[in-house]
Amino acid sequence: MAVRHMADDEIQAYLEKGTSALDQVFDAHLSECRECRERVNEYRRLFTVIGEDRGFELSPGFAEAVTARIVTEQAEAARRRWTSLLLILAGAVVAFGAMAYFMDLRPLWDSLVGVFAPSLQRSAAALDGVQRTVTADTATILMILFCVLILAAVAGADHLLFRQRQAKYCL
Amino acid sequence: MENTGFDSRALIEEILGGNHRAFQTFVDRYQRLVSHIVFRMVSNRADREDLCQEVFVKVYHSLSGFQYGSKVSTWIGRIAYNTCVNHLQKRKVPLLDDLRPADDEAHSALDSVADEAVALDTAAENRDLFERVQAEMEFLSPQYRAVLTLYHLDEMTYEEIAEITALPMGTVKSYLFRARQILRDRLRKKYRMEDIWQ
Repeated sequence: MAVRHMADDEIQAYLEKGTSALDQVFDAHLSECRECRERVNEYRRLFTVIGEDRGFELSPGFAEAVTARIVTEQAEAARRRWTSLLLILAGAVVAFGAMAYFMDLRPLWDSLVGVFAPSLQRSAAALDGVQRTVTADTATILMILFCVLILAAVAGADHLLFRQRQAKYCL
Repeated sequence: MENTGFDSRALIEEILGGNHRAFQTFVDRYQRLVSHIVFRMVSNRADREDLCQEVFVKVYHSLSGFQYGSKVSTWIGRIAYNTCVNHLQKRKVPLLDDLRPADDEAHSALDSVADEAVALDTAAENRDLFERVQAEMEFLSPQYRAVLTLYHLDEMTYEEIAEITALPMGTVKSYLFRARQILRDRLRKKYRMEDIWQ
């Protein structure tokens, strides 16, 4: 009777412990069949070599590099958000200016000055001790200065909160 | 691998709380798995480390959505695998080009990828079996290499590999058997028995 040798998939299943229901049958066959024993040994050696953990080394400091990349990306995203916000504000100012040029906004302006004038008057008096009448023109200049201060504060915050933090992690 | 005293859930919560040191620990813990997948699937050495970084950046951004429905390693493995698949698809490298021993001289799309392996093969005669197997592995398709790696190096089960690769379990099993068979056949064809199996 011709001997039936183990097929490749049977050998592999045999080597994957616990996956072959025929392990005992194969054990008996292998004790008698040199050819199959050699093939089993070949696969066994191959299994061992495939499982060797060599050649997968990443650079030293890989984890730090990944973290720095994430922090940098986050800082850039935050700065993009601030830039978008400033652009929206600038767009709003331009739109308002254009509207003011083409429309009569005097009533609106008067009501705004009416709101701000008393406090501006008090501030001016406190600064130089001289009681002055705040005109609409003075109020305009002060409001522009106030806007410049806000923009400077935003730029300062951007620099302190994001750029310096990013530089710290990149070092 | 668990060298920090944190369990994965606690570590993830630390990271979500903004602790960058915790994320470094997390990367240290899983970089071996990611490098196994990326290094085996992507043959171009110049791309490998950058891809590993890309995987961890994706992991970081997806961490808040992780529901603990699977093991962290399986989840990261899936991100690494998909990142490699996308990378290879962009470079038009076939994911499953079933190279057989007889196809050595065929004009396969993987030829360029395997050139390096061929050059190494003719240059060194005294390499050990590990190096020979590595060189032959370059002729396997990326999917075969991924399945082999996850099973033998990362000791994952068929179920875990199926989850990572989104392949049916039967397909995973058949890829695994086929990949080993191709490797063995290539080695037998190329080298004398006593040179490689002793």
